[in-house]
Parts: sequence; C-alpha cells; structure tokens
Amino acid sequence: MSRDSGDIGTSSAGRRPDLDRRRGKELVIGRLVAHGRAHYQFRSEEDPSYYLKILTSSGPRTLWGKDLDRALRDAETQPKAGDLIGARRRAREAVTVTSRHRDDKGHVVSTSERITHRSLWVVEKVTYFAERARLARQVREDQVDAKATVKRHPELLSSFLSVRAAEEFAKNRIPSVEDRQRFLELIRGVLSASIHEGTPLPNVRLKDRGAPVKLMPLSKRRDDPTR
Amino acid sequence: MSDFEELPSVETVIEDPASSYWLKASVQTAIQRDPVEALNDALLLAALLDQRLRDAMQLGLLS
Repeated sequence: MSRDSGDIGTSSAGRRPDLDRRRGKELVIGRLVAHGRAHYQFRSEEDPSYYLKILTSSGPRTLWGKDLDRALRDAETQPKAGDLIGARRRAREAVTVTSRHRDDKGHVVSTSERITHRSLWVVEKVTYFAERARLARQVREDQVDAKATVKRHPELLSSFLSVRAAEEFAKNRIPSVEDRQRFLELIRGVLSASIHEGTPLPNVRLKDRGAPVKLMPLSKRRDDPTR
Repeated sequence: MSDFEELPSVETVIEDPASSYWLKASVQTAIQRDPVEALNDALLLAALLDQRLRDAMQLGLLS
C-alpha cells in the first residue's frame, strides 16, 4: 500500500516525528541545498511529492510536501539552491487521499479514499521573514505612525484599516474600557501573527456605518449569573 | 539518496570564489583539528549563529 498524501512531517536521521509534529509552525532556517520532485521519502512505492533539502544549524533536514513546489514557485524572493531560506507551515487544508493497494507484483488491485490534511507552506529567503517580523511589530505597537508606514509598505494598508475598523467598532459598541482594550489587543495580535507567519494579508472593505447594535459586553457571558 | 549528496567537498569550498573568506579560513583551520572536536565546536557555533539570527529577526535588526 502506498501513501498518496506524502507531505506529512519532516525527516532526517534520528529525528522523531512526534517531536516534529509538536513543533507545529516552527520556522525552519537553513541553506537550501536541493529541491525537486521525488517519491515521498525517496521510496519508489510511495507517491509523488516534493522535497527541500536544507542544511540547518542542527544538520541536514529534508522537508516533504506537495505544496512545497507551489510555495517555491510563488515565493516573493524566489529562493534558489545556496540561499539561506526559511520554511514554515502556514496552514493545513483537508484533502481526499486515494490509497492504492498493490499485489506482490506491484499492480494496483484496489483503492480506498480517506480525508487527511495537507500542509500549506511559505518558503522564502530568510530576509523575507525578518521583514515580516519587523512589520508585525509595527502593527502590534500602539505608537506606530500609520501614515508613514503605509506609505513605505502599502501592503500593510489593509492591516491598519482592520485595526482602525476594530477601534471604531470597540469605541461604539464595547462599553467596558477593559473589554475594549482586550478586544483591540486580540485584533492586533491576530494581524501581527498573520504578518509574522507570512500568510496573505486580509482584504478589508470599509462599510457604511449603520445604526449601532447593542451587543452583550464581553465581560458578561451568556451563562454568567445576573447578580 | 543521502542528505549529504549535494554537499560540496572541502577542496571545492576552499577553491570556490563565491565562498566567503571567513568560511575558507574556518574550513582551513578546522581540517587541521581533531574531527570530533572540530565538529562539536562547529555545531555549537551553528546553533549560536542560528539563535543570533532569530533574535535579530525578532528585534527587527535585519531587513
């Protein structure tokens, strides 16, 4: 039986897959040694996948994932062999995997389907992640000069608009100062994390303001006692 | 296929005009040392530099 997903986890000598899974969205930094299409784990009976060989500070490491091919092609910085790169799983999407069951001669005798998850990657030169980290800090920090920053980085406009929209929302609809601050910190945190991880920035449209809607304060949950 | 297949040889690195002077000097010094001690130190150095890079990224010191 072969595995079609072929893009789960990383591998290198002595590495424990359970530890890799626990690491989740870690940024793997290293020198890109090689990349290309190959059968998963270089085993001919496995399904086609894509690999990156990276020389990290803790030794060579091979990342597997069908999406790595797309991530490299779509990369803003177009990394190539020899570059210092960063690779990070940015999301997982559900996919239907077809498992092929083979007989002794390798002929497919039956197939079965199951739902699994495929990792979506961002692979860029390491300077890209440094820049994203810097931008994430700018959005997170309160005292940022939004106008000047957006002029330098127009791609951050939607993030600042999101923050502005959240501020407006909080001002009009969240009476508690404490809840308001908590809400805005949450929004800034989400946007900052999104920029930091290299995920696409959200598109924000300013809608016309309707009549304020009375919302239940964040400090009072539905099940809270009334007195 | 081995993870090391695409690694260049010591000679290639030393003769490669694209290699930095620091790397060439480090390789030339390292190959005169005990291999175990040299690798042990190099792994620590790599880990330190990895952390230094991550710290610099977090502090916004790179662009």
